[in-house]
Amino acid sequence: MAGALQLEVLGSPLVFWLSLLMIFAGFSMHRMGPSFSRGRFGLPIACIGVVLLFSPSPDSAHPEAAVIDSLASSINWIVFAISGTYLIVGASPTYGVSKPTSIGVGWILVISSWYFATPLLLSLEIDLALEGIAGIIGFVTGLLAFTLGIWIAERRSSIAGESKPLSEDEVQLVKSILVRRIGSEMDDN
Amino acid sequence: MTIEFLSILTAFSGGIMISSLLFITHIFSSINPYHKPLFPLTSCISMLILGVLIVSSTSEESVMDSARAATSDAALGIIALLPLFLTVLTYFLIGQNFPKGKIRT
Repeated sequence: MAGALQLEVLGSPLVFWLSLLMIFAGFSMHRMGPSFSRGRFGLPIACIGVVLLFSPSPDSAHPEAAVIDSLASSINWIVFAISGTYLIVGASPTYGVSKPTSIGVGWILVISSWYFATPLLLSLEIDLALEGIAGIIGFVTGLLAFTLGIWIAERRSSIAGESKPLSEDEVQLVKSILVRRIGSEMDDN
Repeated sequence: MTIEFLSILTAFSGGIMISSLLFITHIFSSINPYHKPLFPLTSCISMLILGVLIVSSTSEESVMDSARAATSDAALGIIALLPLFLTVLTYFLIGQNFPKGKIRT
């Protein structure tokens, strides 16, 4: 009885929205970087959100259930594509020394994601595609409104004053970071 | 034909609501002393209200149910189109690995 009640709670639309909130919030916190201490909580929160999203759901009557099913059927190629991209971009010469093994594994993962994604692409219905295009246009409209809000806020803000020049220690720190990060490319040039 | 237009309009407003919710969450979770969230937050809330108004005016269900259905429709459509983004991603990854692109820049 308790187990069934637990499953019922996990399958509720509230948990779906809560998990989406955790994924969005976790990603935003992660993108804040190491300058803000909450940045380190970003990935764990997003991961908990993903686990909650795919938790067992006995109730398939709510509209969000179709979204979860659709995500579950696409998760394999999405994971392959993201991990392959991560390996390829991380191992490419732009960010330091090239790692051919990682690039090779990355391409195998990207090709695998194509293997899983192609049947989904071929079975795409025109009605769903039109809804998807409308959804993307709506998403971009929201993004434009957000950008407009940022633009207005930036225009209204004034420069408080120039910052002081770097001290000798700070100059040395910046130099050492730059040499460590792009030193090999600087030597090449 | 009217039904098709309505479903497209519903998905459009669903997309607006998804992005508004995403950016509202982003504003609150990344708030810091250097943030000026008033205008971005106002624009996001305005777009969210616009999306809710569109779906509630085209549906006979309650506001909450129609908003949930609209966001679900939009999310389903976007997920269905995601494999197309794999094409774009692959194109950029090929560009990343080709030395030809590096010489051109």
